[in-house]
Amino acid sequence: MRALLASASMLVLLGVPQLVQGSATAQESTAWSQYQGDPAHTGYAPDGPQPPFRVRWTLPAPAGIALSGAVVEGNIAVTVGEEAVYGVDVATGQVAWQIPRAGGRLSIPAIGTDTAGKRVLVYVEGPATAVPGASSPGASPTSSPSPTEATASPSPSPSTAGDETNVSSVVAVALGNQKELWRTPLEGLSRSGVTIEGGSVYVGDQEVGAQDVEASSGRVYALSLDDGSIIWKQEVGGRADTSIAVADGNAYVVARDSQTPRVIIAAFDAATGERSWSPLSLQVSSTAGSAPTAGGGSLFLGSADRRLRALDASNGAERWSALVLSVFSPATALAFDGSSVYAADVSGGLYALDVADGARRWSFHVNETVLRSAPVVSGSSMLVGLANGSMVAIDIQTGHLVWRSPVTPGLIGSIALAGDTVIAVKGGRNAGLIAFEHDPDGTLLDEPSPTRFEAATSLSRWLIAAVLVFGIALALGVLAGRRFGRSGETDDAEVDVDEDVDAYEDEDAPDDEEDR
Amino acid sequence: MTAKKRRRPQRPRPAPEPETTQVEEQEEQTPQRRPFGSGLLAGGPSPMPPIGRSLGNGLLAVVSSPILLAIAVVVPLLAWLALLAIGFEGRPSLLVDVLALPPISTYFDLGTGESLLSLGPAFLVFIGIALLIRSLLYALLAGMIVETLEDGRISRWGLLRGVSAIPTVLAVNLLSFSLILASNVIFPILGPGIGLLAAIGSLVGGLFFLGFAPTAAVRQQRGAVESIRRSGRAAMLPGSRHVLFCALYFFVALPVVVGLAPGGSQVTANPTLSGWIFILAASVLHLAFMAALAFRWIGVEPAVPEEPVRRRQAQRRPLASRQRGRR
Repeated sequence: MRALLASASMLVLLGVPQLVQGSATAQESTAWSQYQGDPAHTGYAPDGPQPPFRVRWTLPAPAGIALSGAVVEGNIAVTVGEEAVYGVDVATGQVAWQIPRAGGRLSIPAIGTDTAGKRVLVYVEGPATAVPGASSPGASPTSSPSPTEATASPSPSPSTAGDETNVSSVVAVALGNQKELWRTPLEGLSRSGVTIEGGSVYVGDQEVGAQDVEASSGRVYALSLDDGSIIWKQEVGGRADTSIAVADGNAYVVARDSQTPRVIIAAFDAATGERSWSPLSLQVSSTAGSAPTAGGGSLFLGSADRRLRALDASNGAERWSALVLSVFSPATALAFDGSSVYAADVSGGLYALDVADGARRWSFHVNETVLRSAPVVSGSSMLVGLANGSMVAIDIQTGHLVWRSPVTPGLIGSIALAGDTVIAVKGGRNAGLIAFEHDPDGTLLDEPSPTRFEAATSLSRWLIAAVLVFGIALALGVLAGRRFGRSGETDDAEVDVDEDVDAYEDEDAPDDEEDR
Repeated sequence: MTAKKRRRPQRPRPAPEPETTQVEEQEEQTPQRRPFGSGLLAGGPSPMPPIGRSLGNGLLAVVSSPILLAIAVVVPLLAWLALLAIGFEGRPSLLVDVLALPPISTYFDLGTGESLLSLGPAFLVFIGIALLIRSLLYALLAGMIVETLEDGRISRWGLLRGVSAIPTVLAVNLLSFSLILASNVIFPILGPGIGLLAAIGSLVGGLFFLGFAPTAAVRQQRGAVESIRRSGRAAMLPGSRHVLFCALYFFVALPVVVGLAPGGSQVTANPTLSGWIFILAASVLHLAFMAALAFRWIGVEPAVPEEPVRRRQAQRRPLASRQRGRR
């Protein structure tokens, strides 16, 4: 009995912290706190909203300047604009607060918890760039359903660090009151976005002075979330311009060297910055390739040789690779739900691959470019935004298209899942955010991929075409044969040819005689 | 026309020796009358039929032959089914060039192979098989087209003559493949502008020099090397506007046919009806150009020199000087 009680108490002692930890992890996963939802960029929300969807609200970007992809904390979605960082009410689309920002490339922010338990928003700003037509810093965007003036909370003006130098800075603010906590200048320009894992912030950059040319070097940084101090910094041999994935104690970086051109895949110990394994170099014709996604002991990425690769996260060895139809945009990543890897190539090919061996479970071709949207898995559907301004949902079991939104001006980019809402960034002339919610009155589609051969349809079309072309051509042939004589039987042809030869030879004759 | 009346296939007609000598001496003594390039673009008296007449006869030969028409409409379907069977996913509009003349057809093979298998050993195997199948098909087509132009019908004799041309057509396809590989390696060094022009020029040049070889092999039953040499000599004959013919084909086969193909960028396994109509019509057009080339060869065949002109000049020069000495 004592032994039983002892065992029970041991179980309780060992189990409770794990339950608490598991609960915390689950809580973390419900928030879409960074690019693709989590530090590993899995893009997976098992309880995410399900299609069909309808538009809940749209938020135009101020003065038409684009917004970054959103991250979500509770009922607030955070997005980065050229001149401000905006907190948007997920339910209404109204701007709840905004923080002035000193320009710079738009990149996705991240939200983490510091050692004091405070929620911290981290984003990148600067160096400032002159944007034609940009509105004054005080301008506030409004959402379309109920356009009301946004309330800009009192927040500290950004320091001039980003303005005066030619480098980007990492800025941290308290999410609760939007007060700046720290600011750390980098050595180069950053557009990688921010990744937060535990108490560390990971960000990449590229060398200064390479705004107009493709840089061939860059660094990856690990900063303390508490005070912004640099924990470690490493050169990566190329520009680190895609989001850094962190999982299993490693930080994974995909860097690009346009001079060579090559893509470098590097892994660093997340705590110390020591290289976990020797960097891999993919010598490909272009540096197009996705951001890394980690999970299940593997690192997944798509590259310019049209291959999806799974690398062993512990040593970088290739586990499998799978050929797809096209290359991958650097603005995308893959999604991973524990059993399958989901990808979208530039040409609109969507794929689900078995995580064990890379075997293709299904593929669907949307025949539209996918430029800035990484696939996300929301429950039983894969969502992806297209360059024609629509979003599609694919059933991850069947690979059939179950929903598509109407085509709208401006592409749909990065997608964030917030409870029952899908928030996507829109580009182009109508740049801003667009939010979808489940539509109980909507209908689901069940369209197979156009790449699936339908024998009856295809053969009947061919047969009709063949009869038409054959019949018309043969009729023309008969008519022309009657008019001009059948081809080949015409000795005239030979006569004409002989005449031509004679004429050709006769042309030389007088000259020959003259020469003689 | 009955079988009894069917003419026997024409034997190669060697060019008459004295006339050849006259022409050579003419070339030697009055070089200013035929400046370099006069045979490429400039018109003038030529043993080669004009472009319009060649195309008209080529088209008439194809549309008046149910067998050739059937090949033009069936081959794209078979190619598409075969590609789907081995896992191809791509644009069916590519099929507009499935029956194109090399080296455009070589581009089709390279594109589908690369899309299907990426670059690697399997890609080379695919290309090898594709070139073999294409060589067999094109050799048979050459035999059938020549017989249609000669007799207005297709018989087993035409097929047999086509079979004898397989080595030549295979050599032509291999040369086209090598040409494209070389142009992909060399011309990018020249930069985007000049490199592109050079690449297009090399493709037109490939068709220019190699285009007559299958017909020459069918008609004259010579080996691959000799047929290709004769093809080149025929293309270089003055006044033929043969470069114009080849450039016209490239313009039609690439920007026009590919650019106008319905659903050009759509990836699907099920081409639309309009897509199929366009693909099949394009295939008929390619066969018409193939037949036009054959018609031009038949026209120019008697005037094609037996030996390379420069070599003959070098051999004749001492003889000519001796003759002048006697005079």
